[in-house]
Amino acid sequence: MRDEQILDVTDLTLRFGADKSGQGGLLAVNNVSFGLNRQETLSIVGESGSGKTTIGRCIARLYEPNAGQITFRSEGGEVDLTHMSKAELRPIRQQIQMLFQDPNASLNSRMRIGDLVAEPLNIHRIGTPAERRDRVVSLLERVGLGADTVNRYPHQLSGGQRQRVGIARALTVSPRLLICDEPVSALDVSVQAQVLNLLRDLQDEMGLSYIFVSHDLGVVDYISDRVMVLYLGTIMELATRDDLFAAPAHPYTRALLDAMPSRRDGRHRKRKVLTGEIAGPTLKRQGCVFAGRCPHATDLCQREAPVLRPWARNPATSVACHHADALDLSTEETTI
Amino acid sequence: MTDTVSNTPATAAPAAEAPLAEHNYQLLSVRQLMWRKFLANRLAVLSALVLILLYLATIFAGFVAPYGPQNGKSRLSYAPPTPIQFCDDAGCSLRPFVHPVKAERSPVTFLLEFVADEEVREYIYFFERGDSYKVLGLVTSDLHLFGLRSDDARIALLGHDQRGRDLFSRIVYGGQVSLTVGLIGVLIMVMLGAVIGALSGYYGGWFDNFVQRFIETLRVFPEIPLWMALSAAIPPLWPPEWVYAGIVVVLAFLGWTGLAREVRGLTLSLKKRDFVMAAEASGASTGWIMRKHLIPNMLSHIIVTATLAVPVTILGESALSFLGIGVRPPMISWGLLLSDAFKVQVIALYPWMLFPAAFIFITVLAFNFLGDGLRDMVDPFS
Repeated sequence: MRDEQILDVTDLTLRFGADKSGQGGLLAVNNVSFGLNRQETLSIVGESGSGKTTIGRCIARLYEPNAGQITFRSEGGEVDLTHMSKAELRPIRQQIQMLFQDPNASLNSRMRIGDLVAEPLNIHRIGTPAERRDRVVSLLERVGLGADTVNRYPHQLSGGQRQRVGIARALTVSPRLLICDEPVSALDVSVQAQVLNLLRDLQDEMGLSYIFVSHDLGVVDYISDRVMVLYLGTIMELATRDDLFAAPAHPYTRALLDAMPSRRDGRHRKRKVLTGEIAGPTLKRQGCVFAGRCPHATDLCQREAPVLRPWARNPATSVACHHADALDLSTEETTI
Repeated sequence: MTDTVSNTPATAAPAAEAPLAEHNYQLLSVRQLMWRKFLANRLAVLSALVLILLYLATIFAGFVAPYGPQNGKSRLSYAPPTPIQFCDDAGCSLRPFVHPVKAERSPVTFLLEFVADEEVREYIYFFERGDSYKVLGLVTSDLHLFGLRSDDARIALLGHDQRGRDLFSRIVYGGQVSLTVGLIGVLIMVMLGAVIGALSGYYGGWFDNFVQRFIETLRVFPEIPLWMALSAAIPPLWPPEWVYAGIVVVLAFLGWTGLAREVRGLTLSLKKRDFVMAAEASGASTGWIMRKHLIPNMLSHIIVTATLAVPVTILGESALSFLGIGVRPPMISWGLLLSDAFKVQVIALYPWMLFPAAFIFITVLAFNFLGDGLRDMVDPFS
């Protein structure tokens, strides 16, 4: 079961404010392709504005992509999410649920927890009111909240508890795929771990697949099976978690890893910090999107955009860099 | 490589999180918080009480008013307010009384002057029988809050009008028009404004554009001339009740635009919020999102705006009636009563004819304070 693909995204492109021919505007997602296996966690990492949240929202069809296919496979067969009307999508929505970054904003402050968790059930008219209530209570208990929580309002809960409510809410309709949009970045570090553990346990219990959007590599390292590194809406590297953290193939991945705070041996490490800013996504592109900030960039990088292809040194890793085969990025370059 | 990654202690169990806090202040619902916030605003509470009194007096106008609205004695034309006394030359009494008045021509000024007949005491009785009336058009009664037993003397707390009718009674009856115009008018405004505003904000596009331009067009006209033009279009032969309905519609038709704009803005900001996105991702229909998320979150703001729109409508009706194009006799409204005080001469000689203005003033002020209080209340977390 585990290797069965549940989601297949091909050439996904989204421009905000594009004209009718699908050109112009802000290129948020650029020809992104990836697959997701059953019970797998794929993390999408990148800086702010790299389009990671946008990809998640495209899959949940909160945004309409301009091009590409999103194929979703479930017991009911294979469907292309990009070509479905709202009415056709409704049954599929049960199988794809979302977990939002800020549990404060994603829970309607005027609804009781019980109503919030039951909302997906109510929307899809699943079960009798009594069955719904039982389901809500059992899910709340599963995520570590008492049954008495149902009568409370979101503002009466802590951030961690609210995010648990968000998780319970997403799970009421027994989804196959959960899109987690930075689900722990608004939480305290101690609470983050609890929520991550809960997500991991639930994945095993319910056979969930996760798309995990995050900018926190520590969290990504903890929860992912595979990691996709995004820069300006373009995939830089797609690798298993272990490969990515042990031997990054792309200079940008290296830079992200270097930017990570480390606790190792209590030694202070001089960090190699990227200079410059993420380029404006509205600019006309030529060459590699990362070329402007890449320490290894050459004329070729400025001229021609690299395509995502298997890395010569480890074919399981895909990388979009002209010089990936030549560069050795496995050691931290700047250690004291 | 996992061990190089720092900030993810993987060992803490979910149970370690603090149990739900047991403090009382955390267990207050949003509603309770709002209620507290409202009670803290003394002026708003006072205004609410004043308004409740005014509306109660309006519902039970026949009971509160000692006389029927058309019951007048021409010999008491423009007689001043009757002083209520407990003592006179003959001694004191626990029961208040009034002296009957007689009109006499002053030998100096040749004006009619009202002279109290100090020999006669007319006692004021509570829950006294008098003119018959109907409560809410259903129950017939002749019980009055207070009144005199004799028909020779009359009690007029706020004086008499030209035809010798009790101004206080007429003001109480006038409230039936003036106070309900505000409420019914605003009700129509809220329905128009909220629905059009919400649709305009939610769907956007050409519909939004069209609605907004239409609203702008309506708003560039100066209000009073437009009211006048529209109410002048009400046929003069309509029965007074129809004219009343017509005035309400005219006022509401011009008043919904502000609310529509506010609701549109709120919808625009709410529809981008995560919880609406979450409902959408769960497959909620537009109707569901409107019903369960948008409207409940906007309701408090709509109530505030509506409360603040009530005095505007009341003033509008008063202005129209004052100018003689609002409600017509035999209906009574505060604006219509004020139109009797149109002449400087009347104000100079019979200043009590301005009392209806005081009622308008108090009502408008009370609604404004109440609106302010509600505005504080709807944001209980601030």
